[in-house]
Amino acid sequence: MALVRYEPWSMLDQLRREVDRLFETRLPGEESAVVSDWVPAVDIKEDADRFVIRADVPGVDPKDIDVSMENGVLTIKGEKESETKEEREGYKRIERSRGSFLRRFTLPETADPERIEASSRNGVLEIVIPKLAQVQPRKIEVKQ
Amino acid sequence: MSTLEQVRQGFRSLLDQVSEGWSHLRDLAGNALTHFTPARRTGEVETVADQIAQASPRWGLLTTEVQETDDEVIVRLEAPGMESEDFDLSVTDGYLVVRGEKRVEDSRKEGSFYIMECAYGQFERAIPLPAAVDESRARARYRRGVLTVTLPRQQGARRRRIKVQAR
Repeated sequence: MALVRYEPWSMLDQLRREVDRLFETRLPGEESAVVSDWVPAVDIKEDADRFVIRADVPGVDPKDIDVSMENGVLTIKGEKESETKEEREGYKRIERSRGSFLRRFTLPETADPERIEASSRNGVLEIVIPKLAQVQPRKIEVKQ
Repeated sequence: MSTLEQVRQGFRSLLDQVSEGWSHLRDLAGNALTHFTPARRTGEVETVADQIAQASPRWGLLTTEVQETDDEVIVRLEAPGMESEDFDLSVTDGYLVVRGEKRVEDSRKEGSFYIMECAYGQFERAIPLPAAVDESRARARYRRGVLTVTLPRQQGARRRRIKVQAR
């Protein structure tokens, strides 16, 4: 059983990331050079034969998600449309972020860019990146 | 300006920035920062999913928005990765209480996590409602990770627009 956490300072680190993410959220009308309005939270896992990225993208239409791979960098981007764009009045509380999101990951050379698959269900985007066949751990038989 | 004075000014402006950042954070996060508790299932064998939930962050953002129309209060809650039957909704003392459990989908035994930002487990969030509602006529829908709860206002709590007559 090997479920290894990458960071030992998990709680502090988590807090720092959440704070970073909140500040990455742009307020309406605020001028910024930032290219995206919000950043989805992700889980990244490596299995023996594949990498799996799960990103929380609630309220995003799957057709508005763009996943691309270029020079070993995987880019997830998209746009969250407001569900009730026309009637913007009557809001008592707004915590949800809107607009565009972007997140990039550098994948190891073992990743196979040709066979990447992405699917979306219940607001979670799942990207499966198989490893190249030759780098999968191969058991070598010891001959007598 | 003396060096000491510069240091003092720098420190003061740093403090100002920190407190400004903190109030900004409070404004944005408000009550959205929610605690997730890994479910305890007594008398059962611990599964891989249980272990992942244990290792996941204890805090997650469950962001909401509350919209008030003339005859309804609409609450939207972003809770990706749930199943609709894992929500438990109730209205108590002017609050919409959302309880639920976000379960780990993964059942593969091997593998290691590089990044774990998503929280798993049981959570509860109470969202204050701006008007009295008739919970018996409430409707809820879960789509694309967003829970939408539509609560009709109580008869007496309906908003009436009063037109100002021009003389």
